[in-house]
Amino acid sequence: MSGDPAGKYSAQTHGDSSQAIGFVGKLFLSIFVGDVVEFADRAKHWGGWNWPPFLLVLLLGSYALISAPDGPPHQFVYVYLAIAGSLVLALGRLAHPKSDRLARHWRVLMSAAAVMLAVAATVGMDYLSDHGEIDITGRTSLTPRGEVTSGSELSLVVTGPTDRAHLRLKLTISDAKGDQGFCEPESRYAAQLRDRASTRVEEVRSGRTVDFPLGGLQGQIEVQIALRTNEGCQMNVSVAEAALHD
Amino acid sequence: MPATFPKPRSSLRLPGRIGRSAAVLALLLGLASCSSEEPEPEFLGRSRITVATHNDLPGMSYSKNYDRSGLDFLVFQHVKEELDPVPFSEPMDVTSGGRVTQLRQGKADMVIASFSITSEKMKLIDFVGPYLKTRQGFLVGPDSGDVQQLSDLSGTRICTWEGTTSKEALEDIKNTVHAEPVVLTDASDCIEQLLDHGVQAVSTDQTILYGFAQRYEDDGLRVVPDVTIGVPQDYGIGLPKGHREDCRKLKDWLKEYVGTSTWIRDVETSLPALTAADTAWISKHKPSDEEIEARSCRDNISP
Repeated sequence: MSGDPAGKYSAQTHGDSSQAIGFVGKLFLSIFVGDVVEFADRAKHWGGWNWPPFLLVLLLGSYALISAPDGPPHQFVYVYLAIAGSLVLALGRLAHPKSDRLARHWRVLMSAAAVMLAVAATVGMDYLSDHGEIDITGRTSLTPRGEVTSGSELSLVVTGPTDRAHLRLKLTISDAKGDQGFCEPESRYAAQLRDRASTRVEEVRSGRTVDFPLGGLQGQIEVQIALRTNEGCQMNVSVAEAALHD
Repeated sequence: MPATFPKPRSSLRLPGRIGRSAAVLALLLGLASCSSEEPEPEFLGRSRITVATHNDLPGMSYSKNYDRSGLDFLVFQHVKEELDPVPFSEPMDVTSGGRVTQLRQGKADMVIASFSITSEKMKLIDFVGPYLKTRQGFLVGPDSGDVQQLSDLSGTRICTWEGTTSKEALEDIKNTVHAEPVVLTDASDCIEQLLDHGVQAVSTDQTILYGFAQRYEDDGLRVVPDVTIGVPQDYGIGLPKGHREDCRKLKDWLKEYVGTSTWIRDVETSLPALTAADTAWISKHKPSDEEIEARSCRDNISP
């Protein structure tokens, strides 16, 4: 079949499925692009005052995301929530500039809240850059490597800058010969920062977290570890987690 | 004195008596039906428990002419009493290498067979224990009177058997002590070789060695005192995984049992050579509540 007579530059469709193709094309546009005409009409009504808060929120949010430091993801949750909240509020305000449902004072409040959340996210990210946790598990080295027995002394060295006031450490002690016995439950370790007896912790079990105050320590951190387990037991010691924090 | 007349029996009482009889009958029938509906006692999801144990370890799990003895057997009897009225089948024999397989294939519901708890086995089966702790030692013949320390075994052939944790410890000392490990099929093969001078020592858990020393006392076999190698061994009751509630029930009982004089008496009865050789045997071989708690009904240790 064919459509109506075409003008000089108009498009034509021919064949049995030509009507269906036209319908699908419109459906595609309305789903993935939206009603362009209606959107353009609404955009004409967006006042100039609606844009600055949105752009400010966008700018602050982008800055916060770009300046995000490395670290465990859980500490960024509130910052990311604040960025997302500010963007939602700013977009809401932009999309409904003169809606009857939104009284003027609510619209102002939305703009103010969006900007405040974006500022809070930026300040929060700055705080995390200066005081947030730094995962240093990959910067640790434990010697000697391999199987250790009761009374063995190990040394844990953290390379790189000491940017925070505390070191949090979690060691795992596991049976080197898991097919011969089970010594984990009675295995413990004592640990302290090198030459700082006041930081000594005793009777720490595998998987427990200990915290060492670094107290202005400069340069590399060294933790001395002494293993205690049952006679005959051969153990593996590894760093499960190491983090610097304030 | 006024004359008394017997009160005439009322014909109206007859239906009351019949009613009471009927009520009693109904009650009895009700009780009978209740008892028949009562669920059969179960443990580990089974209405009858089959326990696998060794038959060739004197002092631990030994069987002669269908007469069983040893600490494993006494623990089995206590478990049976504790779980009464759950019925138990006659214990079945198991080899050291077949213990985990028997449990996992459902051929045995429980293994009480000098079964060492290891972190690898804990991933496959559950343990309740330990009920006894030991270390790996050495049994020597009458010709080895001069063996007092590990270095005295230098250049000798030391026997152990398949399916135990002892083999690896012997391999570990091969280079330091310069002794040749000989791995045979089971315990009796090693003892036979020791008596025939095919090997100069047998090495496995001290508790088992003291059982053999007692059994072959006349042949002059003896355990070398205070010479141990390898990882400490903890004997537990093996159970299939998936029955944690029953496992914890058994653990609570075991903690209680190990804390009583019955446990001391059982070890003294089963392993008299061990208790006589070392006056401090309780501190070396008795597990604490914490040790039982840390190893029972777990896939691994909790931090």
